Amino acid sequence: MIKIIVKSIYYQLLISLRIKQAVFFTVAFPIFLFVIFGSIWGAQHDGYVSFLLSGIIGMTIASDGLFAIGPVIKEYYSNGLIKYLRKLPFNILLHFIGLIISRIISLIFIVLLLCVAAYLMFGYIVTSLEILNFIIGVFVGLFVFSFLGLVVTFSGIKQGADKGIINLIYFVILFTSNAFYPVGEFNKLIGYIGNILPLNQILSILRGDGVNYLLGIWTLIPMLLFAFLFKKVKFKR
Amino acid sequence: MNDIIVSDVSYQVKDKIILNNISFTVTKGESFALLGENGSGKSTLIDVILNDLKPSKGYIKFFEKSKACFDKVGIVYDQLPLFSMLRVFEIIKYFTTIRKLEFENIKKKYFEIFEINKIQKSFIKELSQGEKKRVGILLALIHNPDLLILDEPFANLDPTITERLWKIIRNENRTIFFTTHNWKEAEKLAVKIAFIYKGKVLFEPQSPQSILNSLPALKIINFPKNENIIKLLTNYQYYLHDENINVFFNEDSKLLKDISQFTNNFSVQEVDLKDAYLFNINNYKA
Repeated sequence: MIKIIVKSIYYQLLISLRIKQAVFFTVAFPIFLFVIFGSIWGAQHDGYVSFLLSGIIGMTIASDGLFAIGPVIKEYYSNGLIKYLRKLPFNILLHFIGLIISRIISLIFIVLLLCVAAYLMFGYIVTSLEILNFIIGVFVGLFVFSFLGLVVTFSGIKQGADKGIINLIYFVILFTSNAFYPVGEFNKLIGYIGNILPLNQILSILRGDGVNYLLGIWTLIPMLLFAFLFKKVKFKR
Repeated sequence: MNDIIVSDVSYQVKDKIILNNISFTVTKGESFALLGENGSGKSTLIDVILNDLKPSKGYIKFFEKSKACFDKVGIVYDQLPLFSMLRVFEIIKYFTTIRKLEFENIKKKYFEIFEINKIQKSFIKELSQGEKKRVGILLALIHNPDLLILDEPFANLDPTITERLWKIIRNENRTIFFTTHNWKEAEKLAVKIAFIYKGKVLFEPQSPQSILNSLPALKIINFPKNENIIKLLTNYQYYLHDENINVFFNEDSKLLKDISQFTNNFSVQEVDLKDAYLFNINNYKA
């Protein structure tokens, strides 16, 4: 069993490393944003590097959760891979566990890269408590955003169109959130919307600000919705 | 011992009946071909047999057991759904891990015969349809299954490799259930054949030879549809297909002479399974 999970993690990592677009958005783009935004505003505002670091990590978690799990699993279903794998003498969950662990490994690697970049670019030393918060945030955030992605992709929306909707959801969540700056200070309404949406809840964990009841809602509702939608899934012929 | 039992299976989507009361058995060691035109229900039947679709009525048994277990079954789907960004050898390695086999043993045993050496470092997405098929058949065989279920296994394959692969597939008295569009191939490879048309199996599955023997004659004459000639055919059995008339006849009959009075555009052939299928579906329609 362990051998299968290890192989599954290895091949899932290999697949994601071979998709140039995925490498750009999960590795290069966050670091690029961090360095640019940090260079522009980091020197003027005390504490901004730390704020931005957690914000960029939150953004990466949201993007990875929404795009790298739901659409991938949906594709397995629509191209017939699931029915193929189901005939093999193993629990197909092992394959999915491999997929999720590969995303966690990839996110933790990016967190570490960002921490190194924070030190090299801005001389900011990340504390062990911050790293712990980042790791908790990776787990919780990946859970929440994966189920959100799964709900959209399995909601019967035509393949192709679902990616557009996930993009829309992602950008609405991102630009109403406090990932790059405290939005509520510029516009109360957008700040209010951002506080209801899930990314701000994950940012609270990443910044060590604790959790509130909305995180519970964002954890439960997508999961229950997905469980309902999944029962309706039919194999493609 | 029956390796597959299909009993009274129907499959319906809303009001549309896709499979209608299908029953047959595939006995141990048999190579059984399911033949039918596009949309006749072949792939749906494969999906029902493989538990991917739940039948509206009836049941399937493997190795005479009620609970489907695919440990001793190898499967090739019509389309090979695999991870497009992995290389061929990586996919095979992953499958050998899942099946608790040694990759090196599989490599030694199959890579040369399946001509995998040349493509082992290619990405799945770069493979041609024929190469994908070869990988698919190899993955279905690596655990040495007792039963193979193959949907269009030799489509897009070079005939020279088809023969070689068939020898390996048939090895060790393995049971094979397969669909194909290649009627000649089925005639050569299968010991039992079932015809499927509009979701129904046309008659009790039998050997290719007995199907051909059941036809009105062993030769057929084919020519474009002509009302004048049709009037001459009262004593002959024939079927219409694609605006052509196909008449069963014995060489001693005077039919050739009669037809040549109207047209020189005709050909004479030995009957084959396609004639048997088309003749039977014409009777079915009538």
